[in-house]
Amino acid sequence: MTSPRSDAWEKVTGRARYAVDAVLPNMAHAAVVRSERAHAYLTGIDRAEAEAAPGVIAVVTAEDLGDLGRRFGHIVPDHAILAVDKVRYYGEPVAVVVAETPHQAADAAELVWVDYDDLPALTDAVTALASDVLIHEQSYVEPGQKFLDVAPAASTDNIAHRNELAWGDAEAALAAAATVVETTTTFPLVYGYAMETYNALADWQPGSLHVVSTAQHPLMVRRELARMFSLPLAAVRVEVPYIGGGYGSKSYTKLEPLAAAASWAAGRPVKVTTDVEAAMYTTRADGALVTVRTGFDADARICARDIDIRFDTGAYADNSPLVLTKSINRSFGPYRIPNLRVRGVAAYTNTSPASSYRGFGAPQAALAGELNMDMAADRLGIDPVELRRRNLLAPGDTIIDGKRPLDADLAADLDAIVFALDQHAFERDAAVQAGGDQHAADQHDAVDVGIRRGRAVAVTASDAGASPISTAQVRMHADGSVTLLVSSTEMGQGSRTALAQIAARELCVSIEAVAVGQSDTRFTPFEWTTGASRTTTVVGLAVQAACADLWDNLRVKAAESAGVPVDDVVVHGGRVHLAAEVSNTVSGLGAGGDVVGEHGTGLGAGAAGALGAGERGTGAADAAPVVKDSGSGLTPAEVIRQWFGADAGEVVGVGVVRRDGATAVLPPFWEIGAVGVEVSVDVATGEVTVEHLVTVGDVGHAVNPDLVKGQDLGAATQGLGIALWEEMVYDGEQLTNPNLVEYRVPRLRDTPRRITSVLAERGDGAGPYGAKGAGEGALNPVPAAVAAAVGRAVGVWPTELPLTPPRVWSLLQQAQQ
Amino acid sequence: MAVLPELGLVRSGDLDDVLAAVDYDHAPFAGGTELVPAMELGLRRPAAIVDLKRVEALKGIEVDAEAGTVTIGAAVTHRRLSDHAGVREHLPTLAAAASRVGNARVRSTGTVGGNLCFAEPRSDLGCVLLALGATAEVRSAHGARTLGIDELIVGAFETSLEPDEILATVTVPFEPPGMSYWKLQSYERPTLGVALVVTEDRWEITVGAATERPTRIVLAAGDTAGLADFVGGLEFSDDMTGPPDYKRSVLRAYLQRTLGAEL
Repeated sequence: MTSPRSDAWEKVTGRARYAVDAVLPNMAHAAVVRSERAHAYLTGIDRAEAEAAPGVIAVVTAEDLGDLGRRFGHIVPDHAILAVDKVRYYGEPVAVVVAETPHQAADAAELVWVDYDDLPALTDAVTALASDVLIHEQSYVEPGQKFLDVAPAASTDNIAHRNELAWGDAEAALAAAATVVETTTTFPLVYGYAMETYNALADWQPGSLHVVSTAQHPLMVRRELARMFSLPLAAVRVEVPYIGGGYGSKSYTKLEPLAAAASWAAGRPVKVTTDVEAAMYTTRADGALVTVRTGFDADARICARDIDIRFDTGAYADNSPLVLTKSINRSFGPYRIPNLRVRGVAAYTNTSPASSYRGFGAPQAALAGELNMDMAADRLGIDPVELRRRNLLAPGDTIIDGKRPLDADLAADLDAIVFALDQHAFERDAAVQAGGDQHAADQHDAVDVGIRRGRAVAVTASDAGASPISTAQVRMHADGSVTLLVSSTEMGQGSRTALAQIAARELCVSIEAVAVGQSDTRFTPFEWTTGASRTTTVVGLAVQAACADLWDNLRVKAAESAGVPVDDVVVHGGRVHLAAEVSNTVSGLGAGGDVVGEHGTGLGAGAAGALGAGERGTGAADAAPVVKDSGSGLTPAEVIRQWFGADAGEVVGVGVVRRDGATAVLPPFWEIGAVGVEVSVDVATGEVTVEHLVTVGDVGHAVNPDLVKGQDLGAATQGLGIALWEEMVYDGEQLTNPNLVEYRVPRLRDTPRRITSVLAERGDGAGPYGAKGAGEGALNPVPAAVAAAVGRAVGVWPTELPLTPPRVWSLLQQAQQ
Repeated sequence: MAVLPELGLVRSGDLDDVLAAVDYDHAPFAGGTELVPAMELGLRRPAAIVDLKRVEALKGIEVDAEAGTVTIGAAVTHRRLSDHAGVREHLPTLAAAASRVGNARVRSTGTVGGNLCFAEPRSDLGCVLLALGATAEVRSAHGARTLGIDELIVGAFETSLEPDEILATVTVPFEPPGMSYWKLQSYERPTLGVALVVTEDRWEITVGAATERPTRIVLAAGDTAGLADFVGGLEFSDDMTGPPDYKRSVLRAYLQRTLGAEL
């Protein structure tokens, strides 16, 4: 059920508190001195003039940090807080000036003089992999060091990570194939533009560290800060208020060590903020050069895929080794592939460090993989949708051995896309025939003056959900209202609303009676991450479990108050009853703990997946009456007040999700991307217009349909940005477009002329009510779909994104030759 | 967060006060849509800014029916220009172009004077005003002079203004019949702008945005050879909006289609 966003009022009235708004008493301000070289030894930093400037408290460089753990990086600890001995990209923090006001800090930062001894700048992956010049001259990896199942490359040959996945014998199968189709694509360096950039405020005091920041994963940041500052986890407090957009770019540790080190050195709380330029120097997405070779048999069935992925990971590894590993898993698509080999390398380059970005390696790989399917269809003389249908996996099929079987019906998703695309085309043609639609008629006429059309579909499946480790706490107050505590971060996706809906449904209260606060590691319980589209599914399960625990605790309290055994107390219809009051029930009722399961349809509903569509969505409040209520029972509030003997007190429920039960098999779910696009291309200018975008949100169950559609449209739009506009352009050592005038993100005017957003609710997910995640899926196939559609329109397959007007014009020139 | 250095502010409603204050270190300031980003990037570091927004003499829009002109104050915003009834009636192409400059925020604060005096090549107004034969009145504490648009804008980011001069007004003849303006705008600023005045016997063509400064040519109608020479001879910029060949091709295709000329 769609429920209005619980944060709408405070956000539209400007009251919502973001990390950038954070203040602490006696707070000082930082300005970061950034490298003006892409690759150079640091030969001297002269800070005397800056230290003498008005208002300056401290000028901090690497040498001041002493025995403080000076490097961070949760997979490869290669990232110094401030550059040590050498700089590895233009814009790297070299020093930080702490002053009383932001103005004083900014003015003094210009008085820090840095001397460099230049090294060759390796600004792309191909150059870096071929060069003898090392970006990192040492290995930071201890033998056996791992993050999840990722063991990073220990080499220092400009390789941050390498990995591979294989089964069967791809080489032999390709040699024997009837047709082999090869595709190579370049995925640009893109920046996860968010309205709020990276911000961090840190207060180091002896024995404690308090940070307020834009971290997507506060618990991950806590762990890293605790290690760096040699503090117990409990002594590090990371608060994350609202974040103005994350898109993965704010996962793991970013500015927090810099702010914390500045506070440590200056003896004051210190705030570090970034503008768009500095944000682009903080993190971007991995660029990728991907080659896919697919072999088909005589029936156009895939016999093998051989894929080579080369990431441009930038100066520091950050999360890219994991992104590469996931990219490998997501590169070959949800197809039956008897023989597979995928090899991936993430190369260090002298550019902004790359890390997580919405889609997490899927968009990079799917660009080549799905474009390759269209090129193959062309070569084989088969409709590209039919080619996919012939090779798609069915629900329950294995994608990767040992992982969760496919929990989605991709053929049905494809049908929905084709239906929508056909309907739009039919209506347009009909309108032209009838002469009733002037715009459509103009469009039709335009064919004569150089408009070409193309359409394409693309599908992806991502092993999403990350590690199923989550904790939720529900505190029910004496009036029956509820405070839900989770460490999920709200970055605009609406998670506080969706989680409140789940709690409200499980506890039979209105959503207005559920308050969800910000994450704060001192008070909110453990959460692995907010990423991988996991929150509704994984945290949702934790919330359900917490609600079940709360009902159990209420039963215990009611039993104690009534002086009866707890088994004599049952819960039904949002009320607590003595079993004696309830008779003639359906099986299971009265069986103690099992009764709680009656309340949501929940715990285990995902595991079941067996619930038909008509049966889902039945919270206890509107469940069919299955009891003959001889007495009305007690409300939870009455149970609480009775037990405490006052209009006071509260009862708490805690829910934990781990690798067990519904989430025993990884991934917690496969996140599906399924889109269709129709584009038109202006032959004279090369401009691409997206005439129709179709997204299918294959989410099992939409807890909040409007939010899911918002996620799908937002993700797809971000994909359109990559497909058509977004690219960080390096000219030599320096980024030439570190601003939003020249780094062009999609604008309202770029919205597709028609958008069809379909929700596929088949109850086939492991999450609450059969839910699966959304948020990234709709981005993943979009760059590939647009590339294929433009390719069909102009007659030449693109090899490089974004498809800016000049680039499409070049394709048109090639097509003429 | 981009932080500007501390700087002074000179503010007066009197034009003479403003003219007395303006020099190299005292930058005229109206909408700030060009000056502030330049200051953020450290390209301009004035000691003070001189606020023009309160000077009524710079904010007028006067329609002179007798002379057949509209005189526009330099501190008039794009939004006021595009919304003004007299401008819409007598200079509809200019009004339409102004209504599509930049984005809503730029149009609400950015001014005609800032647009011209910053001489950003990728701009619409310079091209349209050159096509209309507009003249600019330039003032300083020592007097005034009148310039054509092509005398005011002499290169990319380059005008003939002295440091103590400001642009006061632009006087624009009423729009002739047969005028149009088309632009290709893929990014925040236009890639190419083309203003045409097409009559039975004349082709007046002004090309903007893709060259260092707007360029105008007047040809006899049907002079396709002259047109081809003009298009072939333009020196297009090479930037993120596209290489010169691309811009030439787009211009050629547009002129072919619009003028019915085979180039």
